[in-house]
Amino acid sequence: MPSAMTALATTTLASASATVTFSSIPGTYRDLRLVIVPVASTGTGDVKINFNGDTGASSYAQVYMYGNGSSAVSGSATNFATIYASAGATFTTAFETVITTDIFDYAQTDKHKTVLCRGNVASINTNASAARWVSTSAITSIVVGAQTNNFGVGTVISLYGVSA
Amino acid sequence: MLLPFGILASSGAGPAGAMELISTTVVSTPVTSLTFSSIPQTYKHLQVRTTWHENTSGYVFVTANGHSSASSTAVHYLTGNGTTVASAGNTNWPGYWFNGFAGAIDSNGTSVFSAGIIDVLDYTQTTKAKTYRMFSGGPTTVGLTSALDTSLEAVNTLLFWTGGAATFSAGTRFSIYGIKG
Repeated sequence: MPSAMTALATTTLASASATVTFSSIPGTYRDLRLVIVPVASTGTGDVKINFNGDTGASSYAQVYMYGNGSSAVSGSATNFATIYASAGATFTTAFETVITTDIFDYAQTDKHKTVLCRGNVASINTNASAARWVSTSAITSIVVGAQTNNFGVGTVISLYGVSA
Repeated sequence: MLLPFGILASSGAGPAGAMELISTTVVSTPVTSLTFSSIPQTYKHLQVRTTWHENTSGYVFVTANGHSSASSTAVHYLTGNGTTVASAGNTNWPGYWFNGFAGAIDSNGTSVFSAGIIDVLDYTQTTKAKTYRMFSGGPTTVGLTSALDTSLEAVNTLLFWTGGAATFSAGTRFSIYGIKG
């Protein structure tokens, strides 16, 4: 029986980069999963996710929660220009961050795209969020971006297709 | 860095692997429940992936093996609603079901779906109780749930139901996978 999870692409950065783009994503799966292990080239940064080049001011909505060792916080917004994959936590120059992002029914054109993110930054927090791309378009490209500072050498970003 | 897709990604099926699709159901006419029955006992764990919409505020309850009488379960929830983080739980839940997706109640626009993942660990083992781990979210909430069903039965049926007057809307999808181990 064929595997239900197929590795589509993986990149390990050999030099700093502000973005990693997955394009021409086939519409033959049901869900997508991103596994992101980022490190900052310098300082810290946020991991952002955008679909089909959409950076519109109200294209994304997100509700999140995190615990940072001293408090538990929840917030939300319906007017984001991106999805923040690790709520309340920036990635650092240390390899201490793992983020998984599940994108459901990415090729369906009868619904907005629902995304679940789980982030773990060892020195900052553990977090979870639910996000939505306010579009019924099928997702054909994904940009994983670093805000403030670039992804550094050794950053690994993998994309998987989940069949159903 | 741009990563175009080529032949490696052109097919929908890869070589045999650890995760296999068992069954998928997509709702075409509103229903109050969905059942996965005769679940193969040949895997180590199960994973259920779902996107759902309900016609009115409702829940996604989970019942294993058609239990119809109270049995002992334990459940804990951690939820964020955009303003506060809340936690609830019961170590002696007197029911045969539990709310699989705490806080992810959704009755928003017809294009707005909630999503969730349920992991059922060691589901075939008859020497241990069954552990459920759930992650879910929708337009207004995000939640983490853990549940324990103290029944030693191997899980061969999973029922997902809304309770009350809510129905799963068309486009709702439940997929169940077997994880080898």
